Amino acid sequence: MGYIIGIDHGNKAIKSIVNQYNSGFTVSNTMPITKERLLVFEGKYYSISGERFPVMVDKTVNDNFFILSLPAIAEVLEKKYQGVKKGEIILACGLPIMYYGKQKDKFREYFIRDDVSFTFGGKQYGVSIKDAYVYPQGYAAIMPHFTHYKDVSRLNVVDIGGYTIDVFTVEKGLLNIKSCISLTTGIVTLLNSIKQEILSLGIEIHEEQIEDTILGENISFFQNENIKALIEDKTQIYVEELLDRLKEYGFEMKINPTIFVGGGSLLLQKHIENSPKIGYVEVLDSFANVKGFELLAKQAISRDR
Amino acid sequence: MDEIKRLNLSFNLQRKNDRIAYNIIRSKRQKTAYIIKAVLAYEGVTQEERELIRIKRAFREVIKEMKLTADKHCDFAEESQIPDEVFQIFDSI
Repeated sequence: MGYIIGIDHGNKAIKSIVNQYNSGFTVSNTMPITKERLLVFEGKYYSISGERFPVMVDKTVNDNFFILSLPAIAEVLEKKYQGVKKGEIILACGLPIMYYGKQKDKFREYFIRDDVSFTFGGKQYGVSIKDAYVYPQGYAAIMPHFTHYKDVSRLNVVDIGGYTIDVFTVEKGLLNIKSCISLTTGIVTLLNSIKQEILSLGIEIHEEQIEDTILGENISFFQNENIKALIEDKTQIYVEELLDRLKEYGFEMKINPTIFVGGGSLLLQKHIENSPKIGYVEVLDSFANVKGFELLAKQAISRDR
Repeated sequence: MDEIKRLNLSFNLQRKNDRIAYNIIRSKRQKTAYIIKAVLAYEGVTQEERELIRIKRAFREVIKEMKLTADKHCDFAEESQIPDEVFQIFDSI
């Protein structure tokens, strides 16, 4: 059996069990000055992180997400598998639930490759990706907690990603596929709308600054503290509108527990928990999907044996 | 000159440990820098060790108070918690 490596390929961030980084890189044909988080693959140099790429609905249309997976593979081999440099890999990954049926086979095939050689962080790796198990995001995230939820008659799951927000109900631990909806108003739309509004004041702001402000970190904007209020207001409205829309779609959140997953949920945690529109709420950590992917893949492999 | 302090050390060369330490220090060129490094390294390690012992003792007390025992035969397999129906759902989508 190969090394099982879970990777959550978000439009905003790539997450593994040991790290996360923005879904973006800059590529060059010559060695860049900074070697930090430098990936060398097929004769090109990729500086990982920095600005994320624009949102991609089908992540298999180019090699970007394959390349973005390589640092995650290196980091998991290094930290979880005690510095292994060579071997066979089984990827465990996921897709938004609405694209799952259509894209799962294509997504699986996209990753399967033999003899992948690359260097990351100055260390040389040689791996063969023998298989990729693909699961629906959000639902996978609650799998490590399956015993907690298997007796709950109806549970709402809201997965706030960069591009999409996927919502569905889980009844006694089982996904009700008919309940699934997907909204294309993920966290990127909030960040973009804040950026645009601030740009209209003649000020350019970075996503990280907006995120830090939403998270309540103590950052200051020189002579422009009202930017903070603007960000807070826009975020509050975004959350309230989202909860209203979910109610319209028939998701009862006053009497049924609601589990929020995805990086967007963590960012909005304070606003979600403080909303009077919602009863019992749990926000799972940003690695919940990855943990679920790995658990499911492990179980699937042991069943196949 | 108030910032600079001197310490006079006396070594009894009849004692083995004193003799070894004296000979080591005497052989060093930058004696003050060497002593500083040696003292800090020694204190750092022992402080960590003391902390570890204190934490271990506290854990032992908590475990004892709660009457917890280790079940070495417990086979906690996460895999067994997820039923077939879940995997059937993945196939059906």
